[in-house]
Amino acid sequence: MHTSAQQFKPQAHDALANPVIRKNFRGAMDFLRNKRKGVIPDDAEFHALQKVCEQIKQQCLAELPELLEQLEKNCLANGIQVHWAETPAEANAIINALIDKHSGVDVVKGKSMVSEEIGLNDYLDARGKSCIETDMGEYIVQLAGEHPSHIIMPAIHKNAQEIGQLFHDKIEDTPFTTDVDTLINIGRQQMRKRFEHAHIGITGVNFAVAETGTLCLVENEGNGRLSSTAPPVHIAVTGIEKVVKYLADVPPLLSLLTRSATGQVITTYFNMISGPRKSDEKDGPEEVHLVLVDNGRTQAYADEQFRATLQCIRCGACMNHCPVYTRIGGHAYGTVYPGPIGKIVSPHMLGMENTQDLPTASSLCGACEEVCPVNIPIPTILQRLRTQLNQGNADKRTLRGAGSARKASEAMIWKVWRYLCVHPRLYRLATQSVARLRKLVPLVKSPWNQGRVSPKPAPKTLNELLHKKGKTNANKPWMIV
Amino acid sequence: MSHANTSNPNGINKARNNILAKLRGAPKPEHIATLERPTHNWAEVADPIAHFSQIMETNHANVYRCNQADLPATIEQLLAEHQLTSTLASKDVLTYFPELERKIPLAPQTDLTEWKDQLYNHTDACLTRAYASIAATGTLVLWPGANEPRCLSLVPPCHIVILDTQRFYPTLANFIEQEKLAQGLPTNLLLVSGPSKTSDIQQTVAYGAHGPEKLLVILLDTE
Ligand code: SF4
Repeated sequence: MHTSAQQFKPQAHDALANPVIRKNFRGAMDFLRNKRKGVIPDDAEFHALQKVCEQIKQQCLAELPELLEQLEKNCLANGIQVHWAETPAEANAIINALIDKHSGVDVVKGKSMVSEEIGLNDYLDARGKSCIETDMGEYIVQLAGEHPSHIIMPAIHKNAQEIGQLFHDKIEDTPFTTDVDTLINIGRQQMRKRFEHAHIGITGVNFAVAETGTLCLVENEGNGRLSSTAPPVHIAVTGIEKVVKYLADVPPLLSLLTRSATGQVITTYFNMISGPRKSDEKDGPEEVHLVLVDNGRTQAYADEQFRATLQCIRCGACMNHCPVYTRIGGHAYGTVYPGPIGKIVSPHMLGMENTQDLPTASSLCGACEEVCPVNIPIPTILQRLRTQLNQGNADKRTLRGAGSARKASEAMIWKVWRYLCVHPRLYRLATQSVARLRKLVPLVKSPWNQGRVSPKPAPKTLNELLHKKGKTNANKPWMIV
Repeated sequence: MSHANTSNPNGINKARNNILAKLRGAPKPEHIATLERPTHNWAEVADPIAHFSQIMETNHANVYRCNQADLPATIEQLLAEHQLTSTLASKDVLTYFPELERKIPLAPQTDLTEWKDQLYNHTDACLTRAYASIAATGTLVLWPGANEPRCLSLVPPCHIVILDTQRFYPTLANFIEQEKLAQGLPTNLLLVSGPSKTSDIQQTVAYGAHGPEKLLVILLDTE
């Protein structure tokens, strides 16, 4: 199933009507919220640490170009080669060329959202390379020919029944089962041989530490460790916003990341890679590469308010707490990053013309901002995005595809409305006409009254009522009563 | 093409220059609060060893405790208890505790490619040492290197690890600071807080996803 951001509305509609999707997401979101609550018992502690994490990320962003250079310098000194890509196409070409350089065909990949963002699997597939996802959730969605529906738990939209059936259908000699231990063991066995013989391992990066040239990976399964340890070449791919200045910045960010994401005080593994193996080491990759990807991030960076989008540490808490995400699930958005973070980051990656509906898919309830470990003002950013979407003034269109949702008819209606509001006689005439013709209003077909009772205007306008009361000047209704 | 975008002191680097130029062209924030980066104030731990053991066990690891004289007997006991027959120990461990070699043989001292099959397909458990431990989160710090390949703690289904009880730090922040890690890190430093696990199928926890299914921690009381 492939979805696209342009089809958000029909996709959301379908998801809402799908009881399995509704049940799987409701259950998963309740589970993740409770887990988070269990390790954030103290609001004051959370807010204090949230402030620290927000400030760390803000400071790091303020110095981003310098930190990227420092990271590059220290990585190079450690023997990690650094590559830069402005677009997904460039990033894919870099990775593909590295694989070719080592005559690699077997690629194992640990969980990496940036590799999803650049469409790496399809790119490599088309070039005869087999890139297997090794994170259990990612493996499941890859086997099903789907994409992740959650950034932390990729297969959250499927239940054990569906996964048992998938394994039975797709993996040879696999009897159907819904026993989770058995299913995980099947996955483990499938990937063991691949790890043993893979040429190239690809992973993401959670934090890249500028002062030490270190790549940090957060995970529970060990597939990230295997992907970065077993093959002779390790390629890490990440967005430019993942850099932090100091090693000492890592502990607070890590603490809130794992607690917000999965409700763990720390994940099973925290892997800090500061170079390829030394000559006396007996295992570990001989080469380590870091690919730094822009893909629209510099656009977000250019605006001080949109820049906050780049504070994100990809914990997924905003989606877990979003009333919209909980009901429609991750695929309906049609973007790699779903939910609140997806709505604010995707327009920079894909252009506003391709993500028009996303900023509107929010009740602006603010739950996302409240739980965000780095305090990103998501609702405020959504409102700014809406303004950009409908921006009429070409000079103020700063984002790619800004103004693309602007409709001449809508703009005209607002213009007329504004005119009426500053011309009292016309205003009165207009409201009086609506009041007189009130019986006709329900006949007007609009999206509003499909499924809602049509509003019926009062027989007399407020002005008329006040006038009748004879209190004071009807032209100055604000002065009375 | 890739080389054009690769950091190469002599090469032209279009993507790099464009990205940095765009970032530099952006407005500088007017005011950024200067942050006192706190070190270890959010988790003081009263009894580190008890706290560590409790979290480790909640995370499905087995914790044992003994002194140096009892170490061989403890190892023997847990090999029997978990029915571990084909085992390997790192050179690091055996250098500290040579008496253990009679229980667990030394891992080959050659490049792993030469004994990959043995490690991947014919080894039940490996014994390594922990460099230190972080009490607040129930975390072991592993410092693999020339005498302790990274895969020993990763590939076999069981990982046995010896931790000196003198080597406790309250928090990760404290550990980083005390050990002056910002001045230099090993090629690979690992924090391990339990056996490998996943909740990717219907939020049900399963152990041994890719790494060891069992983690046996021996707390060693030294003088
Ligand atoms: S926006 Fe905040 S809550 Fe959402 S994924 Fe990013 S860091 Fe987490």
